Amino acid sequence: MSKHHLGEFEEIVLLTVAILHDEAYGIAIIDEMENRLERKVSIGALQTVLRRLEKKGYLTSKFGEATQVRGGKRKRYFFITAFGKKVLAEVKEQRLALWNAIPRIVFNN
Amino acid sequence: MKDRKSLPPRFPLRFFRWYCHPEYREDIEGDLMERFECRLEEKGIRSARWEFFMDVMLLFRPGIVKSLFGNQKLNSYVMYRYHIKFAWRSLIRNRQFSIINILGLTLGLSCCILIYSFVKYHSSFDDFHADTDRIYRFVTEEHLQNISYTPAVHNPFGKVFREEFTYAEKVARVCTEGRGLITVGEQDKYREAIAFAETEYFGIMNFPLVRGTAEKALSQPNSVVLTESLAQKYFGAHDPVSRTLELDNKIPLTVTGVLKDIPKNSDFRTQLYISYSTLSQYNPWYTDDNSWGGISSNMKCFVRLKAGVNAAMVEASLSGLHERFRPDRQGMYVYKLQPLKDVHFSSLYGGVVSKRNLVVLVIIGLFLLVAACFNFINLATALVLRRSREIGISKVIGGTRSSLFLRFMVETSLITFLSISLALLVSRISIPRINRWLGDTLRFDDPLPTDLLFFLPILFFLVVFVSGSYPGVVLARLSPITTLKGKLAQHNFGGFNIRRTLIVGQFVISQLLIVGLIVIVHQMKFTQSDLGFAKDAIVIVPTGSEDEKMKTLKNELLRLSGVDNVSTCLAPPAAGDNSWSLTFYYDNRNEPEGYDIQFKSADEDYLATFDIDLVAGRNLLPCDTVREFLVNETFVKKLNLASPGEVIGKKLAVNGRRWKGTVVGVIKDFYDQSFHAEKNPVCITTHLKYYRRYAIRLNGSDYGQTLTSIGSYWSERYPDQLFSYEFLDDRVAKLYETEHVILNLVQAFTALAILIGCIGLFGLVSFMVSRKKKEVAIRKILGAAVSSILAIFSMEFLKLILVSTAIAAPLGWWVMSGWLENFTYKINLGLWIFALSFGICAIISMLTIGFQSAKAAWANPVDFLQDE
Repeated sequence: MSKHHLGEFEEIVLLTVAILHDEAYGIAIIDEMENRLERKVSIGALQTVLRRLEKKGYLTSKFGEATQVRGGKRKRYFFITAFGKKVLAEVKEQRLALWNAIPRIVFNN
Repeated sequence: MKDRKSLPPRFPLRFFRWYCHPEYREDIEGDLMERFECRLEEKGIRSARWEFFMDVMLLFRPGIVKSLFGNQKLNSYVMYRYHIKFAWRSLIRNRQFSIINILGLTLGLSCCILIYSFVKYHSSFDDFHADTDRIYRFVTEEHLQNISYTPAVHNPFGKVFREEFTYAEKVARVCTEGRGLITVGEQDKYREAIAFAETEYFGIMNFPLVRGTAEKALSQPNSVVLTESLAQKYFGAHDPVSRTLELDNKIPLTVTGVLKDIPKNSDFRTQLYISYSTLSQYNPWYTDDNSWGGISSNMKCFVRLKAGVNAAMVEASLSGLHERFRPDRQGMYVYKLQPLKDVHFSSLYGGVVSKRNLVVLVIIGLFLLVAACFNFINLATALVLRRSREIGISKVIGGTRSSLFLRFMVETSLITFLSISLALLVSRISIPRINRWLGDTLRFDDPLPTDLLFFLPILFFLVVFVSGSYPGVVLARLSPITTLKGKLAQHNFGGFNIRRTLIVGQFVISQLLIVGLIVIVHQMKFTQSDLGFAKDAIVIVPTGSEDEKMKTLKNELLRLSGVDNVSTCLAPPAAGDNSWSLTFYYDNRNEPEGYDIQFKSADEDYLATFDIDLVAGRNLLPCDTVREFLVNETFVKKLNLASPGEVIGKKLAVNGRRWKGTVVGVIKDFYDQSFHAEKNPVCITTHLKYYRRYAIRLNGSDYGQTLTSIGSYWSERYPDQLFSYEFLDDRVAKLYETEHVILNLVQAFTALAILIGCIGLFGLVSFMVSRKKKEVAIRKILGAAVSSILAIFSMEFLKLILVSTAIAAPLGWWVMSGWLENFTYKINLGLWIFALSFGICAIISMLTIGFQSAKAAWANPVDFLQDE
């Protein structure tokens, strides 16, 4: 068991941030997740997880430029940190190790 | 500029800005706006606004909401930990005081929890019916010379009300019978409370059936529904439906439905309901549409009024109803509506516990709590003296008043919290015991945790605030210089007068309770010392039939060695609800007297069995029909005759002149009803047809043996019936059960109040003694005797007790004379009662004080003086 425990939703959010690379702000992340995973995500659920991941050091963020839309509010873009990448890779390794450990017979009947 | 229509809803947005952590506010708000704009195009304004609102609500969660204590976090957490740590240390350091405080508070709080659960339980009675506030019971006021109250109505009343008035949604008549003989199968016989109920009864009351419906189950004659537990008792695991029972060996009944068990917070405890159409087979008088003469207390009538109908309106339109059927009885019967919620509390109509008693208990509970808080204040204020140096140093190194106050409140909270936890434990352990001790009528309910969830925090804050705030202020106010110089003395913080006041307050509470206790005990003794008849060792056994067989059995019983005397009679002297009042004609007067006479039929052995004395004339002669009468002294008094001798030989006719006879003797008065009621005129006559019971006076000590032989003789004569017996003293005790329970409770609470007071006194005196050790030592060296030192400590408190007596005596007199108003025959409140309460208080407190002060007085003065 890794000491960096990552919840299922946390993992998905991290991955989505990585996918969006440089374009990951709140609504974009939600849209991406809804498109790819067909899964309803509320702003509240997402934002809490984003802040938590930031606090844990997997993500950093910075403000973008203000625009005419969005009531003139700036976007906050999220970036995956090196530490975040490492944790994601670790999780993936674990998953793969588990997949590989399944006897072939399980999926072959 | 966009128009307002395309903007997000204002309130949710403001709410969001208010709660959101400022660091996140801008970008999340931007996200929200973006979503909103997007949805506005896709789905329109309505759903966009709604979803915006939902998003804001879903964002309201711990990760996003700003901190309660501002964002610039000063690390006050450490401070709280420091408070708690210090509170704990000071509890440990002043161990004796902490224990005394916790003990006193625990006692007071346990009582509060108990009283709360008692009051809560009793006010929950019959609150589970639908639209309880529209359900009423019809009751009747009988206006004779004085008004008597019956929780019942004339037999045809319910029918007339249903047919002629439109106020009711549902009307139901229920005829209850206390002792029906139920036969199950061949052999099993049970005495059971039964009721004949119209189907509407189950539409008014929320007593659901688990099998069948009330409309169907009770529509046919000879059908019966019973509760699950009764079915279990009768038929075991077998299906009860369509099995048969027999009532009084003559009426066959078929089970057509099963009721869910009656909830324990209901006063309508009948478990077996027979269809109303069966009632005419049981007693045709009940179903006679013309029976407007007398009222049987068995015939109850319930109604659920239509919404918006006012009870007073109904009562007004009922006036004159009885006169339509009995024009000769003008204004004699007045029908009233009694709200269902009052049934449990109304003492007029046989309620279980009066609201007044509940209020008394609540007041006692508050008293106990106040006494415990007073203890705390006293001790804590006294303790400030001992802690003055600590406080001084805190202040010098920058403790503010508010932080010192806060620290003290934390300390108080800690003690209160410990006490409440203990009290909860104590009350949980004691409730089953208390219930066993109090008996069934007035019981405590196990409080549900959900109830206490609201009650305990309130109690907690109340106690913390009441007991913590004064000493907290005193402590925070101290000047650091005086405290550090060690010059602080009692008078420096003016608390001694406050403390005196508190002690006086405690003594007032104790004395009030003691006075109450003395008066109640005295009144109970008074009322039960001389009932006017013997009640010990008398067994009441029902008769099986009213014929020659009864006489034979009587003679057989008389031959038993354990039996002194046997009388066959309608009812024993304290009849309770078995009374039968009749109008009567005296002498040769043509008009009946304006009041009723209690009719009792009994044979010639009645007086000897119950030890009732004759004042004039002679006893009845054996006879099977009405020929001679005995009357009581009240009868003579009511007729305004000079001496009992005057009625001897006069004619008396009762029951519409059907029964006539000569008065042959006058007996001493006995208490026929409970002491709340006045004594009635009574007549006793022989009438074989109306003997319902054997009154058997036993001798010797082995009652069990005698009862077994009585039972076997009885069953031999009446093999198809069920032998049962009841001791008369139990029956009499039932008339006073509420008083007994209240007495028990007051006794217990008084003892507790005194105990709490003593605990506080003990703590205070031991503190005083430790302060005055040197003074005592010097006095002893200068030649003071032990007694004079004891006197120094005692005089102060004796004075306080005297002051408190001066307050408690008039207050107690006022309260207790109010209580005695309930009794027709009552004691006088003598001065001795208050003297006694003073004495008790003084002795107990002197003992408490004496223990500590004697220790100081006997100690060797050198021990105290040498340490300097």
